[in-house]
Amino acid sequence: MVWSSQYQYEISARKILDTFGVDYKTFPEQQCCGKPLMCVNIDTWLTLAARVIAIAEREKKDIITLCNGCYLSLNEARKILLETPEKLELVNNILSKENLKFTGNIRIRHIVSVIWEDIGVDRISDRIKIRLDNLKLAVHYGCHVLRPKEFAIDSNPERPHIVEDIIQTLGAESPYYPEKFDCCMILLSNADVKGADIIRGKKLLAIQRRKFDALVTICPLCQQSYETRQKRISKLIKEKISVPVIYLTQLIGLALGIPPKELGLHLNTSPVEVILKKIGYEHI
Amino acid sequence: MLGTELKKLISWIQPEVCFGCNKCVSGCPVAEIHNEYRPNRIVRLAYLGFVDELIESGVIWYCTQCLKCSERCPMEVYPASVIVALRNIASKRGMTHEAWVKMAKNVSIYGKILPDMGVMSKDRKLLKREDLGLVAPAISRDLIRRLFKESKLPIDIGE
Repeated sequence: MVWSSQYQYEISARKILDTFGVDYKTFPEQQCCGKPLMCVNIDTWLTLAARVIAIAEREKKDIITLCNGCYLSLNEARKILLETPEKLELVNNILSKENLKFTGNIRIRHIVSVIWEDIGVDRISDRIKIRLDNLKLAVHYGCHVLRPKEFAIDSNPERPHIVEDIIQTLGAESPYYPEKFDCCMILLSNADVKGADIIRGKKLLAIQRRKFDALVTICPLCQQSYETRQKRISKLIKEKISVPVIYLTQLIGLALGIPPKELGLHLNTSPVEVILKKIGYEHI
Repeated sequence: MLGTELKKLISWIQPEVCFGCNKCVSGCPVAEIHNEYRPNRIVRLAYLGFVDELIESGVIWYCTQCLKCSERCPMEVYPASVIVALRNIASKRGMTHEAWVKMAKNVSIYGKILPDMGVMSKDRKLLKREDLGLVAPAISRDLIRRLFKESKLPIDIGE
């Protein structure tokens, strides 16, 4: 499993995988998937991605990513390397010095797919201790798990349903809202953070006005975009934004009765206390 | 040949077939904020050879790679990929945007784009990976440097 700098995502993901007995390992020598290097030098991106995949191949394990960016980066790199012999030769020459070899014979999966396919809603349903009734949740898939279509985690990327179905199993509802597929704008934060915050503010304000109880994310970069900048966004758009932002894995954990601190909820920077109160936790 | 330099970097782009339907503009979040930013405009300018101007203007660093343009395009132009190709060309000329240089430097030092600075919990404790029972990454700096060098990354990542 590829790790995350968003510690609470990693903590809650591990908790879910452990609860349902999914076998996984983390490798200290695994480095960045290479996506930030794609815009600088494609060969460097392919090399880094190939190394991550080659380490998993050496262990004969599929990869689980927590991040949408990693998910697409590794899948796309795998495809390009399998279709372009020159690039395949280039990266394998570089990797051979570590006795690593990329052949592309393992799958790269997003944790939501693992939850949906390997665990399944029935097994989750059997273990629910706290039903999240009366909660209205805004789902945010992010961009790279839905586009390009060939790597999408849902069979209908324009009207996906797997995260909504998982949420429904937990007892909550997740109605559609027009800003649902808006990008979290993380990559624009580099060149124009104000512009990025305007689009984020538009989405957060809409979620607040439509009285959603929380925004649910499946990617650490999306979570970071929406969670850590609410004060700044409030100043920019001149309206107070106060939206709890929570990972899907944390939400599932809460429904399973796992205490908030064991899901890293004390590390979320948005007002998650508000939604925790609604499901019966007076404090984290 | 128009567009050859771009296609050498990314083989599947087809800037020559864009007929200006604007479907790419309809999904673009940056176009929503900036009136002059249009994916198809960047594609056409790049195809016609105005690569220097595009790089100088800095506009190529605005794309969020949300991929709505590439998905919606009926002609398989792949505007988002044209922008990636332009970014690669800019980098070859030593004009990588500073944020990407910083990310590359961080990857070479920490193995990922952010250092492990720990996180502040709601009860005001600074917690590191070890405090939370999470395995810490152990990635050799020299290894990453070698990977960068052998893949010919055009950035000087210093010491």
